[in-house]
Amino acid sequence: MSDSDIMEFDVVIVGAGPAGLAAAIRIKQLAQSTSTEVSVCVLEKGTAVGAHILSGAVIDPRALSELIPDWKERGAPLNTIAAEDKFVFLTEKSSYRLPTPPQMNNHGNYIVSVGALCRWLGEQAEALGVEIYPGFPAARLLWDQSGSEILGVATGDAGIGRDGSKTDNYQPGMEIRARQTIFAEGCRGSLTKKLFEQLSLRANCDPQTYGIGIKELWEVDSPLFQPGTVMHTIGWPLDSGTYGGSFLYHLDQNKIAVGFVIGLDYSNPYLSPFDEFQRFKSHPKIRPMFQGGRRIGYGARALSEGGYQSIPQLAFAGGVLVGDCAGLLNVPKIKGTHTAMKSGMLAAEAIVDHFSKNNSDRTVSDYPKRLASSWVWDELYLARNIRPSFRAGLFGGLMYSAVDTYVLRGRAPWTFHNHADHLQLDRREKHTPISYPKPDGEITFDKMSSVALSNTNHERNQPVHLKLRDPAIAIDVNLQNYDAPEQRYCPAGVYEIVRNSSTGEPTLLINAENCVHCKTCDIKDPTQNIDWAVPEPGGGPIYPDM
Amino acid sequence: MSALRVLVLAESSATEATPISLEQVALARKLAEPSGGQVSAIVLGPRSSDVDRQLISGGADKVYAAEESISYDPDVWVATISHLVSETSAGVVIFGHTSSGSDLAPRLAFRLSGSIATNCENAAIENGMIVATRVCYGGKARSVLRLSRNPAIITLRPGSLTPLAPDTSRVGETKSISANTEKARSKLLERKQEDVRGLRLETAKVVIGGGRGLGGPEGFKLLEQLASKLGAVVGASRVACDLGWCPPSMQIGLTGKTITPDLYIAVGISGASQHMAGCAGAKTIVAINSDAKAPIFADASIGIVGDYKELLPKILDEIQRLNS
Amino acid sequence: MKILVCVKQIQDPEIAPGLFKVDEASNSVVAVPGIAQVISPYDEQAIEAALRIKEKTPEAKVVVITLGAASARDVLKHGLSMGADEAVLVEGPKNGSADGFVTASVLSEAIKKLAPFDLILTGRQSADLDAGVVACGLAELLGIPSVNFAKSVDVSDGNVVVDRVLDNGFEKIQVQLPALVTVSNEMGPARKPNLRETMKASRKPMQSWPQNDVNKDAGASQELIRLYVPIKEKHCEIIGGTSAGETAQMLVRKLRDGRLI
Repeated sequence: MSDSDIMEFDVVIVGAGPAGLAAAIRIKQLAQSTSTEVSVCVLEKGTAVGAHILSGAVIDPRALSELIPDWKERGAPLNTIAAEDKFVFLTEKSSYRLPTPPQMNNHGNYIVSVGALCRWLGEQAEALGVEIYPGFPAARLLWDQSGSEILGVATGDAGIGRDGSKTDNYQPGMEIRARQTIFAEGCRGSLTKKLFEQLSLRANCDPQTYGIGIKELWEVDSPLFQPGTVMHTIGWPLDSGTYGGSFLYHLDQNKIAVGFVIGLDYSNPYLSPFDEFQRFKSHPKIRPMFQGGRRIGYGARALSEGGYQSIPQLAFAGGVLVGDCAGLLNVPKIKGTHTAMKSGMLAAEAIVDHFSKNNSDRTVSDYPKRLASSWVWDELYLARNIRPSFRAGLFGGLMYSAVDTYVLRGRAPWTFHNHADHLQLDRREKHTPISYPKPDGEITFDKMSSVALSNTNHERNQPVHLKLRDPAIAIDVNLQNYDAPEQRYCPAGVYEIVRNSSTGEPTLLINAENCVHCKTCDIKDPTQNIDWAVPEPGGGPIYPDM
Repeated sequence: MSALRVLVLAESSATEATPISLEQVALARKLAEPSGGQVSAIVLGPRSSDVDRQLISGGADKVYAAEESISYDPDVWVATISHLVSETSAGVVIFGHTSSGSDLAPRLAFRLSGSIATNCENAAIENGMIVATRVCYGGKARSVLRLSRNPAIITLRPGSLTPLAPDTSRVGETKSISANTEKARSKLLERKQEDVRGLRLETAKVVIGGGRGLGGPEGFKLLEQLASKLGAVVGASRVACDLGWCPPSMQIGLTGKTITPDLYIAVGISGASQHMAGCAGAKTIVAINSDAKAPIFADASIGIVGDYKELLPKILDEIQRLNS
Repeated sequence: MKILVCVKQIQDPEIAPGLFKVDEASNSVVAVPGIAQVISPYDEQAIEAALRIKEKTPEAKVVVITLGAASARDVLKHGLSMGADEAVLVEGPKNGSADGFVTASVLSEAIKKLAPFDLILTGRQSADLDAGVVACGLAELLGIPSVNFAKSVDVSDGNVVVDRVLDNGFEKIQVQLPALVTVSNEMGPARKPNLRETMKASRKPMQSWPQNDVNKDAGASQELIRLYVPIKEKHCEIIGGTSAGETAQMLVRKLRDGRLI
């Protein structure tokens, strides 16, 4: 690579989500207040800031208020105050209201589109002099010669054909070198995953556990619509051994965000999170809200559920981890935007301090210390046993959670451990296939018409960005033992077993252009045979304010 | 209302007016009739008296014809048409939405400070003004425009209307006109009319279209095989043309041909609205695509999700079997 | 040599058809919140054509110009990121005027201020209104020759040579500069912005001209009475046999029964 393909910054940030943008803004604020120059570059794989953002979301504005106290005056898109808060247990035909757990009390919180919030944060960052480059994913890590220090990242090459050869449109990627690289990739970041492996950053923590969140945005025409309403359900259609539930938020302008989260430690290989979500919407309590409405958005994203026990080493030579690629989501609160932003801010503060002291150590070890003494840590520590307790089933989990919350107040002298999700899948013999109802095309839909609403698109002539470490495993293990669960857990229909019409021989077809970048396959594949890599620049969904 | 004079730019071969020209004449008739107006056709390219007769029996009252075919040059043609519009005080000029019609119409509109609606499916008179319905937003929407300045200039999408049944009892005169050649600013270096497939597409009863999903130009060979079995004409999506897999004359869509066959078999075509705008007039659409989420399935009446490379040979076999 | 490329910002034409919505009360397309507007693809290809000329004629300067609201800076930035040298925003209504006469008139006044220029390139039509009127109008108002629907554009010895797409072939046309050429989709895919040019783009000159500075009231030539989405009443029957052979058999029978083949 020639010199002209290298750019240098003080800080490069991977990902323009809440964590990355909060970090960028904080760095510039601090630089301004001390009249120093700190150059900041943000690389974002979405074609626009917010295009790949998908979140519930009810957010706790705590971190935002610390970052930009006058956010209201500056027109931040926090328009709907979370009002009524319902926690509901569903059975197939009925529903029972439960007391809302205190963590889920949304007093003072806002129902937002995190995509819109990120666009706004992006504008604030650019006004402060941050350079944001959407449509340019960081595809590779730049290591020093010893392979122990991060020098920056490189963007991906464009115009490589499916067979790996250069096409007429070939454009080489570019190296972005920086004194510090902030990884803010979100849950299961592809570079973060490589850092974990090469630097053993997970040596002293539990495995991360995950959930998959599938979300739709609706424009409704229903008397049941009431802006500010927040509802969460547990129970039907999931069995009591599967962790998960729905969220349903009434935004402004007749919009409802509805979604379903399922813990990826589920054991039945026949379970299809997408179909569970569709079935959920057909419940007599839920269906009327969507009757006559129009679905305008669909998407999916994995989220970290490991919490406190699963937080990896956060600072290393040349870089830090912030937000959900560090696993900072608060599961019982089902919120991670505030912790993500706060971690970005703390990393920014530690890095600017580090630079101003001309500290030659390439590891900003002050960042994890600051995080450990912040409210983020308190929140995650107190909540640490709730999610793992649901391994005892829904009722055991609810009971433990009540005791932990109301009696022990999170200060139990023990900490439950997390287990790796991909190891929890049972072999096919232990279960029978689930027969999901046919979509009605009004309230429930098939996967393909759903994916079309994500506006996802990838140049077809490029290497498949979902790489099988050993292609034979897809048939010999996944199909043989688990009946190819990727066909069901992928919410975008990327994976498909096709059989040769004459021999009946099965092969796994990977429809990579459908991918919505949720990362579920990278997480749930039983032998960890699938590696999600960033596709050619410009690929991925374009979410409408999700 | 005074009698409305409508002018039509007709295109033809030496012996035959194009189908779209007869559609234009039909529309002109519709607009002129209520006010007892007159329909005139202009033919500047190659023609014969057969062409004149065809236009007159299709609804024209008069044919203005160049004594000798005038080689296409937008400046020359616009100057000639513009002169005729003023001379005949035509209130409406109808072009076909073809490569020449859409080249000439806007120029004429500006030359005469008139108003214009391109890419129209239909037009009518409301309160003495022309109201045109046109295709927009890549075929996703229609807009209805009132054209408030004179003359109203329209380009009509091929396949939008049915020509009138030829009435051979109609009489009309042919007047010869001469070209205004002094305006020419462009020089024609070469003209390649590579095949007539493009023209056949628009009139074919069975069309087979290929798109990006074919994976390369080789796929079209399979389509040609099927086409020869079915007496069909092969067309293509825009992407397939843009990728150079087939010539642009095969393109079906908003910026290509409009087809109106009884049967359209779309193979490996995703069904972007751009494309569907060109084949919405097909009576039956069969979609064959390996991507189940392809929007074409929403427009097709019969769909097959699968690999065309496997399917088409089997379909060929099956037709062979039934025919024998 | 100076090449001007006229571009337009439009709603992304590639978004899921289900998201396209018209508000019939106001006769306008409802913007999809959160989805960024884009450069009209034909105009993007016109920039591509300009950059291909620039590759052969390095001293050529490419200026991108648009009529639109402040948000249209994004499409100018896109052009600069592809490799254009300068940009001009002529302030006006979002997504320009729907009346081609107004747009052509405003743009022609702005372009006169950019004279002398050699070549004006633009897309064959905008991918929203799909009218294809403005370009020819511009040429008429500026009194320069124009060639429509280019597949390729070459400049040499004070002339531009255009491969123009016909319904049934091509023609190669030569006109003297200054001239205007509209670019058709057959030009092929436009290059994607690369990171280096994108980084440079923010430092390239971008002017903004208030419309009243350049506007000459052209007077409306048309009135939009109605905008609507035609209703489709089709239901797709999916045929699926257990093998390709069976599926083929089912299809052929069906077509035969319907007397379609």
